[in-house]
Amino acid sequence: MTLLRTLLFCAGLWISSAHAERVYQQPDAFIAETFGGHAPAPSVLWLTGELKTEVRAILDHDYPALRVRYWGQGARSVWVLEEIGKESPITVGIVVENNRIAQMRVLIFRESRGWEVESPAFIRQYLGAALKPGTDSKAAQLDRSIDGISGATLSVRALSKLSRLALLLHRHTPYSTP
Amino acid sequence: MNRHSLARFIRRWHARLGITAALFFMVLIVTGLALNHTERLGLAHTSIQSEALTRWYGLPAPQLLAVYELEGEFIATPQVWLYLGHRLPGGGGPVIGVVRTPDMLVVATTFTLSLYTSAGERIDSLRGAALPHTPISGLGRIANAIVLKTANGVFSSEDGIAWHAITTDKTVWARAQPPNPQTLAHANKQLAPSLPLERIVLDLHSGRLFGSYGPFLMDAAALVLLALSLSGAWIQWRSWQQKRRHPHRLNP
Repeated sequence: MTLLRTLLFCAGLWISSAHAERVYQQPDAFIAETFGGHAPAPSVLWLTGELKTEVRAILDHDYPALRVRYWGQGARSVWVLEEIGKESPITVGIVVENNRIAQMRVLIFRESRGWEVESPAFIRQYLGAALKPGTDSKAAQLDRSIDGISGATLSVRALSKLSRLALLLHRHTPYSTP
Repeated sequence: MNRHSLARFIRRWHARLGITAALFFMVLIVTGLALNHTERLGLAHTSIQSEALTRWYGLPAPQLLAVYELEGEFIATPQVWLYLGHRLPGGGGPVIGVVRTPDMLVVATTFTLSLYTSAGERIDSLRGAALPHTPISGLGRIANAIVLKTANGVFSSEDGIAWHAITTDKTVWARAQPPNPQTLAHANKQLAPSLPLERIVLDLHSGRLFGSYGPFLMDAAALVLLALSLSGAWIQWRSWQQKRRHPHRLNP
């Protein structure tokens, strides 16, 4: 009977952990940390016209808002973006500097599987990545290939899309370098 | 029972069962064919909205949380927010207030502020540090500016990006109105639950549409089909036997 109770308790813990929202860092804390505690006032980028089409080509759907807030200083911009892996949005903080990814972190993970994308070893692959120009039939791509994680294919795909999106959006800000 | 009376018994019941179960077979055949081509027929993407079906399936009637009369009607339900008949993306649940500015529709909940165009496209969704303070206890407007009331003060913004504290009492606060019968009827029509056609066809095929005993009814129809196949085969076999034994006699 005790064994059964223990097993039930463990199963309950496993189920609750599998569906829990994992908050690795609050978006506000990520932004503040990036700017050494003195984050500038946010700016907004409107997703209209040609940019909206480019964003759709990357995400395979429209971004769920018409404007995106970001924080910029020098040649750096910080983005907090969301994309659904399988069922729920993954919130990712991305710092773009000199048109390359300088920092990236999974901030909130809400999916039941694929949390391995949060690991620093996986994220390291994105650091330094830039955007290769797209063609008429193909959206802009990263200048490198990203090794996937078995069992986390959709989460990896979501992170790759967001990294490309942040690089694309950065190009449309005054903080982009030629 | 001799051979002749057995044959008569089987023929009679073969006919009776065939006529009785014909309707079920037609349902099984038509629904089975439809389910085999679900994608081509677009059954999964076709929604059926019918009061009779809603009652039959026991689906709950839509529940209104609040109605705001702006330049058009805003309706909040636990699942969706409707404005001018559009379902607002990311909307649903209780609201603190709703206001219209010349450029935006603004919806406040306790911890978020959602901005939409008048066509119902989401402009932005503000939460956390994007808001001056939370929880929000009131939403209003002064001219073209949005005004938020919180326990830490009253704040105003024209774009939802830059906020500043204000002390004026000229704010027109948003207030929900009790829904009038016309609004209720309109909302009920728009929010009535719908079912995918695929689900209805599947339930018809399995018999679940006819309640808890429905599947047994379809099981019985399937067994009748089995009995008809066996009795039909037996009748045909007997007919061949008789032809072989009496090649010049007409088949009874």
